[in-house]
Amino acid sequence: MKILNKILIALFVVGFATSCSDDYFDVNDSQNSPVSSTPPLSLPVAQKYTVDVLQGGYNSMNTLGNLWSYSWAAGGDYVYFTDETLYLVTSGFRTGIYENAYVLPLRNYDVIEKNTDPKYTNYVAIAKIMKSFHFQYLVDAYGDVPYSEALQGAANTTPVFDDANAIYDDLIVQLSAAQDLIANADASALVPGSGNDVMLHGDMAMWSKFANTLKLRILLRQSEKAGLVSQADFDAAVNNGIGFLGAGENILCNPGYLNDTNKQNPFYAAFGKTVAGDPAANANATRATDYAISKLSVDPRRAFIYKNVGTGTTYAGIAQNNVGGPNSASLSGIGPGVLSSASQDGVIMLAAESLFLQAEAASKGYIVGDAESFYNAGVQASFDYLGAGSAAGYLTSYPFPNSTAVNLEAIIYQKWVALIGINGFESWIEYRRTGFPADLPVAPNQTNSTVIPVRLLYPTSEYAANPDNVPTQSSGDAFTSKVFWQN
Amino acid sequence: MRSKFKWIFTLLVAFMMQFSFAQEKTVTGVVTDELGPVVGANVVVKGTTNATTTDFDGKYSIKAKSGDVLEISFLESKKSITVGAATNYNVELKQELKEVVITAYGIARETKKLAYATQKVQAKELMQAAPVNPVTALAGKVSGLNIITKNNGVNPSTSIILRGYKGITGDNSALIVIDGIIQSGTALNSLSPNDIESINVLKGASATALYGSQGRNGALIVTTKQGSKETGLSVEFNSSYTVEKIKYFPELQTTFGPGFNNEYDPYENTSWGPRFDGVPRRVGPILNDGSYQLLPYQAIPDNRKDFFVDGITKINTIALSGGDEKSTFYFSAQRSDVTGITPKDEYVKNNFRLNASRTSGKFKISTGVSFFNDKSNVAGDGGYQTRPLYWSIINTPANIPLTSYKDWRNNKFATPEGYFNEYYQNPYMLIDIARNRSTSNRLFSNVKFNYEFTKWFSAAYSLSGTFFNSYAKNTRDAVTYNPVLAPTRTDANTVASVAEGTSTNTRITSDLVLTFKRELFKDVKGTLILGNALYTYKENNLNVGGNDLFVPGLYNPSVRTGELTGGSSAFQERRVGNFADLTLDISTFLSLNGAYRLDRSSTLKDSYDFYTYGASLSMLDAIPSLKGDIMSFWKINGSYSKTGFAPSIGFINETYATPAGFPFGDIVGLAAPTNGASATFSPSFTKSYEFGTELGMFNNRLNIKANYFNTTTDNEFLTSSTSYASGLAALRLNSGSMESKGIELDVNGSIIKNDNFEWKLGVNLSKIKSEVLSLSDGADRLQTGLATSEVGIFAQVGESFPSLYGTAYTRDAEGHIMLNADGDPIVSSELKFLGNTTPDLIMGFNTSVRYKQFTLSAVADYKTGHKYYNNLVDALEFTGSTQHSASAGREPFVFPNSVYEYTPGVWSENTNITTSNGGFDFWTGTYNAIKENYVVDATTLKLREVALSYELPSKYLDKTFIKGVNLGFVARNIIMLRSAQNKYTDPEFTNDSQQVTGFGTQSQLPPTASYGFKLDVKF
Repeated sequence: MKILNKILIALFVVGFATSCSDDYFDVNDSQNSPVSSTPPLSLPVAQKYTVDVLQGGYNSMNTLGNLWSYSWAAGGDYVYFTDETLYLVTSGFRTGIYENAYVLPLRNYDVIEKNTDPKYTNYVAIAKIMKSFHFQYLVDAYGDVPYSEALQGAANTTPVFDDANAIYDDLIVQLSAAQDLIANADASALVPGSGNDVMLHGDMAMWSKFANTLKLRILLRQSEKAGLVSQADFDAAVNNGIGFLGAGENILCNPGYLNDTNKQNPFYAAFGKTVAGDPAANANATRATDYAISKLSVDPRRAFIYKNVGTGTTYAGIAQNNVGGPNSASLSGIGPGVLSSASQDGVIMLAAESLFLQAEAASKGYIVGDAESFYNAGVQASFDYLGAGSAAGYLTSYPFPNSTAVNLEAIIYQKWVALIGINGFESWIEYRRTGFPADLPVAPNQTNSTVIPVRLLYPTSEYAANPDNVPTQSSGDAFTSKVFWQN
Repeated sequence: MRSKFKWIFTLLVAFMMQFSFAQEKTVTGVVTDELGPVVGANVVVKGTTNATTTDFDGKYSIKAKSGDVLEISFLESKKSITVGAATNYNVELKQELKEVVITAYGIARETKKLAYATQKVQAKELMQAAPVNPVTALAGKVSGLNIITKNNGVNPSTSIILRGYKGITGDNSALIVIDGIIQSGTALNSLSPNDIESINVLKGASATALYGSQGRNGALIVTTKQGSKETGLSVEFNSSYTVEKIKYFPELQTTFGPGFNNEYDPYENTSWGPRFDGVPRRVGPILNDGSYQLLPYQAIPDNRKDFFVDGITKINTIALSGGDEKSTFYFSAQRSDVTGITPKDEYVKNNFRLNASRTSGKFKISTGVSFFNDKSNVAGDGGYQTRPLYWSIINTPANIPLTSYKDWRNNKFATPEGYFNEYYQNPYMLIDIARNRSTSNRLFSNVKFNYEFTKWFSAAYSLSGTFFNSYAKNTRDAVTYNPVLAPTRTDANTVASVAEGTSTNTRITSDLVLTFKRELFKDVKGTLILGNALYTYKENNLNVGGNDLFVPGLYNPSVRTGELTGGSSAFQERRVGNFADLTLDISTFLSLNGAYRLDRSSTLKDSYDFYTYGASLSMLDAIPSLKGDIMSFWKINGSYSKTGFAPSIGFINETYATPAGFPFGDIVGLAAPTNGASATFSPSFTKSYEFGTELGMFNNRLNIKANYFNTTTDNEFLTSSTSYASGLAALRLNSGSMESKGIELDVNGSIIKNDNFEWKLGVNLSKIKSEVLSLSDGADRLQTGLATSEVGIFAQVGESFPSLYGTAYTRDAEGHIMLNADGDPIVSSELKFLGNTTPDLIMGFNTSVRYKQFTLSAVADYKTGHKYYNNLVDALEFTGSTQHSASAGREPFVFPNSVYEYTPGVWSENTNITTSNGGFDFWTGTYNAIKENYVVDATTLKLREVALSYELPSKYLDKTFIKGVNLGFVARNIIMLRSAQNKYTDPEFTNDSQQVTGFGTQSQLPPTASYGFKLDVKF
């Protein structure tokens, strides 16, 4: 056949001598898209994606978390959030929480982390911190997930699933490594500008503090189950003098949200108003639960976490799965402290959460400090974020109990309040860890489960594309198969 | 031929009488044919063993008597002469008029010798039911061909799949070649059906080996009409008028009305309200003047169906053709005006064509120029939920007099504020405020030169360009509610917006074909074809849009609020192929063919070169003794080919992109690709073999063709699924393999044939199975069509392709449905195999009966063995309008065919445990979560075409300038028999962009039928 080829080519060589050169065929590359990126270009994208998956729209972790921490329900005239509140958890349920985390933020942080140019040391440190942030939530939601072989792109499309506990251990290592990179960055290392780091605008000391706080969260998560963490772990990981996020140190993200198509804050775009100023698609469907309204009846923050009914001064909620119950117009929606404008910041971690973590750690003796002060500062930080003024009066009704037996319950309840609408996913995780708030209702009017789900199921895509590695699950697992740190 | 032999026989008898005592003498002569002297021709004195052959100069010499008949034959050519007084008889052998088909690169091949399956559809069969779109007219007429019409409407999309699927994620559409030039898939849809002389379907890769990569999926070779030489001028006028009517509207429940939990709600689209009782109830809001609608609470028959109107299609064509001794020409102009079943949907199509040729000695030049233009103006997705119009129509409860809300601007109960439905707007308003307009133009021009250098060597060169552009503009009018008029309504204003775009593409092809024909040895004729084919394609797209337009009635992005949306893209592709094709005809009975093509494609960056080859063999009348009165001919054929395949444009590229929202002011960013591409690529290969046989019986009145084929594609250009944990949502790579195999059977016969009465019947059958052999490493399932997280179209290793997977009932070993403690079915946690979605058996039935001047013809097809998931029904469950949601009277019920765990670990037949709920909660919760409920058997038997025509007897036209008049009644798709489960739609319908069927959505309208008449006049 080779001879025949030569004859054929020779035959037409006259006509196509020029046209057959490789240059002639080199027209396949895209004429419209770049083929690579740099850390300064990748970082703002990755950080925006973090907000999208964490706190953003309908499919975000926050939306599910608010439903599963019984803060939100659908109005009686809307049939909405049905799979979530009927606990119809399958491998097809909320797959974006898993899938989007990997392909959107983690993928782009990973591209940054793999950059070996020493001038991007600070970017690499940020990438490591944010990867740890996301991986903790993946473990908290799913248990074992791909980690050691994850994010290798075309090189490995069937990563193994790593042991959840081992991932947790490595996250501490990675966060410490990020802190070391920041501490040891040489003078030539670029410090991200506010146009590149849309979270902390290049404040590397704050990044280090954030990393320490994440380590604290990772360790505390394991502290309710016997034998997982010890004082030595805390000493090695967080008692390093770097400190934790304190009052006023909210970790926020804002790439420059504004009221325009695709540029609104994603939470506002989903639950606030459209660019034209009309109610967004999910705005009228999302209402307060009766439980939350009653729990917050004397809490000044209620007026900021939930919206007054109509133009009046009353607040009303509805039980989940109450189709045909009170209609949306007679119920409280999301309040102005949580949902304010198209340009509002995305929230990665509230100072209040950090302070409550410190309160718990101090109360348990893991870190030095006064648990009550942390508790009070945490409540005040929550008031501050919501714009609810001074918490002093409220704290007289809800003082820190200063009693080992009930400290945790008080702290976690305050965390639940502080995170309503902002990071309900964390509240759902903390409920699973601590069982608080103890009276948190299991969704009524459903027959699928007598407990709030304890995990998410691996998405269908893993069963399709990675069947040899993904653990087998059944739908009942969502209510029984606990993540390693849960009792 | 028969009559000729009779005549010769008569002469023979006469000569024998006269010269029975004649003396033997030596007869000589030269045998020639169109190539010159014929070497090795047989010369036989009839009825004797006396025979000789011609020498190298074509000369023969034989002893014969006056009155003897000499039979001279060479290959299939035959001639007889009767020896008279003379002694020298020169004989010119003329090739018998053989049936030929046009194959790749315009190469005509003799049908009887083809070693692979092809099937020709003639203009008459194609045109019998006056189609607008020639593709839809192919349905049921060719075995192995699956024509999928994905929707109805004024300009439906189609897919043409030959012999099953070859690619798992790649393109599976057959190559379209019009007058020898490769065209886009849609070019055939837009062709004027009247211009088509024939469509030859080249079914397998062996038939299309010369097209290399582009021929992998088989090809449709379309030949347009050319004028005939020495015919003068003839004029033909065709006109048709057809009416399209909604035929199969979904069967919905008519027992319960709007509301929730058995309580009436005057604003609801959902039918979970109380049972209809005929008592007047308020519908919609109380307006500010205190008025409201008070209507009897009862179902109005066809209230939704009556929204649709009759669609009208008018097609007028004029064609002029003719020629003198050296030239031919054909000119046609056609206009189609179509209005749709959706009010105000319009489609207009114009076609012009000029084909001309001139011969000057050994040189022939021919040219074809055609121009196509269409305009469409249809209702777009709209309303504040941006849903397809059909969704808003079907969300009307059964008691609502929908057609009374036509005048939405003036009727106070039809205005945005007054319309009853809180959640979906008045569809009559939506068709006015959401319009999708588009227009496209295609100019095709082609020039072809033929030069016959010698008797045995000729060259053909053709150069062609196709220039296409389209423009689309989608406009959405603002809807602003007047809060005074609608105090109870939540404000859901929508803003005006516009999106417009242009697309242009240019295809240039240049083909050089050299043909060498010689007799190589005695009884061995060789034909060598060498060719070069160049193909270039360039495409540019540009689109812009704006929202919240602030000048009412003006749809220009420049009067927008906020940022301009839009983007641009550009693609380019270059291919060069060099090919050789050698055919050896050994005597009359054996024909061997080998083809080889070397391709280079710009889409395979680092390994441009790849090859295709094919070999085939056919034997005609291999056992001569079988040939006789019963068997007219018998052919056996077999072929093998290996086709190299290059990916689509940009498939191997990995690019970063600016994500949605960016840039935020001066904050810029680039996102890593989530659709990755492997580092290296090599060509994919499709191997196929086929063998078959063809029998002509009873003087060719009965023709039977049977073929078996097997096609395996390896190393596919696969867009594979990945674990998302890899950081990629999809990876493009070389992987995966699929096998398609099947049998095709065509039986065509003239059952009765005489001067006044003729009955023809044809049956074709294809039984095809495509199976996924492998996907990318470690993956066993890949989404290949529409899918939600709970149900969709997939490729699954080891299953037939494509497969439907979805959530299903949990069943015991006997198939009983297992219930949970509350008496409700348990949904499977994983997706289960629910069937494959392409028919494994397709049968076509064609018949025509002619009695004198009347002809009745009909085409039906039967597709079976596949399943269909209807997302529309799935979504309608929520609205309480499905029939099964009313089947238990909205009360808890004992779930049919179920088992219950009465004692732990022991499941037994459920006789008394009822479902937890019988209303909304059950049907939209548990029942709706089990997608198996919306999967139906997709079997259909469709009567595609029925046509009755009357040809005016020529005696009435003798004294007029009119040469012929044919008048006909036509009907299309008038009967569709479906499985009992399928009460909703045509299981072939799916979204336009999908190449696999099996997943219906709200975007498809109900199935329709068309009726009309046509008139053909020839001058």
